Amino acid sequence: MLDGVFIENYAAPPVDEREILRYAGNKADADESLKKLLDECLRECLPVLSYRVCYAVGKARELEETFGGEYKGTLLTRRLCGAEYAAAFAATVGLGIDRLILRYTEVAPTKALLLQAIGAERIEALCDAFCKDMQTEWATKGFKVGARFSAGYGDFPLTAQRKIFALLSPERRIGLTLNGSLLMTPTKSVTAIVPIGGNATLSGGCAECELKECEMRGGVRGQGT
Amino acid sequence: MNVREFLQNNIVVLDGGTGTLLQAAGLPLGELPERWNITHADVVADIHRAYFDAGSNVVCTNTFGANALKFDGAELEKIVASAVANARKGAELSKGKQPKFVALDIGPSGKLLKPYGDFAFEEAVALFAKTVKLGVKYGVDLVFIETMGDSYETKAALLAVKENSELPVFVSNAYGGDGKLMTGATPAAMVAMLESMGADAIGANCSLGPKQLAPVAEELLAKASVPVLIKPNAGLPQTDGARTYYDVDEKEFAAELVALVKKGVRVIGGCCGTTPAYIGETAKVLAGVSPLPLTEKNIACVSSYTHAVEFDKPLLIGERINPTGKKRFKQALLDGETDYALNEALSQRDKGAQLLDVNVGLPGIDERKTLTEYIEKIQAVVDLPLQIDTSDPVALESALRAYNGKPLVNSVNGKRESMDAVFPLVKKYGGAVVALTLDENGIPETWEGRVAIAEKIVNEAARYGIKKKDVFVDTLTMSVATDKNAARTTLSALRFVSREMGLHSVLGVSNVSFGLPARETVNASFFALALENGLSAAILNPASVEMQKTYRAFLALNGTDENCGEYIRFATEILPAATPATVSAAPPAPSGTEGGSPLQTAISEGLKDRATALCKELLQEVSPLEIVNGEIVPALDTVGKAYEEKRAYLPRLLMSAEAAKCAFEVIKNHMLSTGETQTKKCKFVIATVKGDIHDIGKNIVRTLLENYGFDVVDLGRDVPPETVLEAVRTHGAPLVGLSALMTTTVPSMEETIGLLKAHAPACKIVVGGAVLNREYAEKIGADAYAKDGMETVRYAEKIYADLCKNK
Repeated sequence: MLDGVFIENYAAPPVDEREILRYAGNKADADESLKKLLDECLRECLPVLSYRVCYAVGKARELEETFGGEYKGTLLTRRLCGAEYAAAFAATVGLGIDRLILRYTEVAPTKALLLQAIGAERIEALCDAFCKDMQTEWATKGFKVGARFSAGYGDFPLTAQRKIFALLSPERRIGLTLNGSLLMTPTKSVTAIVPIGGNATLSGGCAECELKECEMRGGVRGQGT
Repeated sequence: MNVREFLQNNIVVLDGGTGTLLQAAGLPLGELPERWNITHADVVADIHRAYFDAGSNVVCTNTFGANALKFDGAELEKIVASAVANARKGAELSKGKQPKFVALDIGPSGKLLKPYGDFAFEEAVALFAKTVKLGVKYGVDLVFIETMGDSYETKAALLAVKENSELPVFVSNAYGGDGKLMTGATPAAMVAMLESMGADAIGANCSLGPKQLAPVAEELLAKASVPVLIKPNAGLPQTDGARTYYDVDEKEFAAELVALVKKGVRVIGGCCGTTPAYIGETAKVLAGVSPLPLTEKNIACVSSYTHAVEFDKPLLIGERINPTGKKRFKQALLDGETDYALNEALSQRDKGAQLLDVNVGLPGIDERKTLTEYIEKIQAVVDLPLQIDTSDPVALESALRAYNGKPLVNSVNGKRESMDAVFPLVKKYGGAVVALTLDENGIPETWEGRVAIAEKIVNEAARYGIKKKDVFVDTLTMSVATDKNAARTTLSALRFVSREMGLHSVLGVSNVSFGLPARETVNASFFALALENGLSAAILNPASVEMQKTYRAFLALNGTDENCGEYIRFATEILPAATPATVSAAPPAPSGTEGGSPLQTAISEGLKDRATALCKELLQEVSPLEIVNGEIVPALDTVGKAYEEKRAYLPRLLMSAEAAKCAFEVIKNHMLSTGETQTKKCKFVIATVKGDIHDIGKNIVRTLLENYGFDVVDLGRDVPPETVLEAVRTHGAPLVGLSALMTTTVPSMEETIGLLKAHAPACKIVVGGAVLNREYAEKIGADAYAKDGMETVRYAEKIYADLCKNK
């Protein structure tokens, strides 16, 4: 069933400024000057973002098999074991924000930091929008959709990125590339697997993660969505 | 007949999708299709045969991803050899009677080039060169560079073809729904660069269906003098649950393509989802349609990696990135401090410059290396086309290679030596060139003499195939203070070259007033006269209000400014803001930070303009050293302490660091003008280790260290261990900071530490980054771990104090 890869363009999801500030390491409300700077950054960067996703859907077992034996028994297996279907997707908000970050890194570091935070919030919002669409679509067929997980989560190694890229060819489809260190450019991008149907498990949220000293622990997204 | 000749009078039909057909023949998703050239040679040859039967003139070899990143040398050669053989076999087996050609297909590397990705431009050129050489060896008729989403990678591929073959080359890019490449280039920008580099056909393929690609095709047609190529998808992929299909059928596809051919498109074919049936239908409908003649568009333009700038109205070239007469920039060049130029680049862009001149010529620096570095860095920061300004041909070639777009080259002159050196480079790398009207006999005193040199240069350029439209004459501005006829001579020559010879022109304006008081008044009048005499572009300081007034007023008077809209905007918005240039130091700062002087408050509140103004004011009474020690450092300490105690957060820490930097800049300028020297604490080499491109943390640490007076040598990201060691040795640095974000790059941090400990044992190493902690830092041999920028500063201060004690 993994016969086609689809491309989806999204409209901009609503912006969550508190989440942006949290990513920027600001744990209080923004004071006036920070708020002004954030507005300036948003004005400059929102118009250059694009919201693109490419994905493939198939039987959960088949998808797991395309990863090969070395990933057996990892989080991949645990999350997919109860699922009937699964999707693999790659999402990016495009290179425009990387260009702005590069522009300001040397000459305006605070702006660069805020742009980084905006990018993080935007790509997560795009992934949320995509997963929500999946939920709606599969709900009509009576299937539940589980939480997405990525290479690098828990014991699911980052090397799996190569398999995901071979499967989806996001280079051609949405302009997403993987470098020798398994990092993606545009940097504000995500690849992930989504279990569908059966008893597709919800994520354990922050509790599932091994990084116990994380500053973000217990944040908005850590509540176990 | 070769394909170049065939192209002159015929419509060229390419093939359709290959991947689509291979998948239909059983190629599983995730397997490399290029291997099928060897394992399923008959299947591949039969696909080519089917396209030739359908009427294709050109089929592309099944080598989209055949590069040395995916295959080792031996397998790559075997793949290209089989791929070409399969295409030839397809031609033999076909019943088609049309002329048939085989194109070496080259797709993107799959890696993104620097500065966004980690793939160096020269690595990309070398990668494509390997495939091109194999294509030449196995006898293809042309090269087809396709589906490129990045203008820089496109340039690398085209350069590889030009450097390794004489073959005709078609270049096709993948445009998104917004009509731009993934990296932001418009069709006009691509035409500017590719045509100037000598592509035989320029076009668009993939990502969109014929209807969505039509606007791109029309823009290409409007700009390109060479044939335009279109190879769309069969619409967009859809699914009905059981199977995937594309939403444009053969008939609709053919009809859309024929409509494009009637608008002037010369080369057509199909991409994803198209089959021999699509090509057959298109070829059938095309029979009897004759091609529109190719027309010379004669557009004078240059381009950046995002857009083309046409010289259809007078333009401003920012002159500020040039060390001549600028102590501060000279110092920055010697110190390897690029911020100065980057700030100038951004501020000139904000002031309305449409191009930027870049000159780093200074005795004692390696101009080739420095110019290339500046071109790369400035391009990463601003999207304006650049004017590469150097008299050193070696530096020029290196900068031209690195430039992403079609630059303006400054300059060539009438000397034989200059023309012999510069024209071959302009021809090879593409570009427009400024022609100075001087030669072996110096600068002619008469306007006729300068016109004669302009003629000589244009004729010589033509011998290289460089068009008239790409030669911009500079009739040389001289001071009226030393020769009363100087301005008249320049203007008469300018008038003749622009009006009678139809050439474009460039002038540096401000020389005219050299030696006179109130220079801006003279400059502005001279600028107005030059504009009226046909000047295409002036090299000047865009921050000069007088020049801006003249420029905006001229455009309004000249009929170039519709409804005087631009002028009104300038007069009502920009002019009032520009005139009283002093930012008041007077208003009290918003309260909220405990105590401190006004400057300290401005810094801790992160108010840049106010910190600058206050620091200038203070310098009239207080010595620079007292300001640094009594104001700036205490303010930084206050915020630093608040951050450590979690009363202030990261954005505030950075904002006040930026404000402090502004105050430091005022002090630096002051000290340069009085000849005082500033002392820095000690060298601090900083880098994100090899394999890691995350540099947010490293950049924050650098900013803080600089403010605390350390002489930071920033090696950037993805830095090999040997480079760190070399920097420590060259600079005699007692301190190194290394950053890593990912678990996978910690080994390369460990390796770097090992190398430093073995060869520079006196040097102290502090490490940081998300994957590290104190324990782990110790385990890999670091001298210290710092959890954030402030802790790094504290550690560096401690080591520095120890160094001072031991002296």
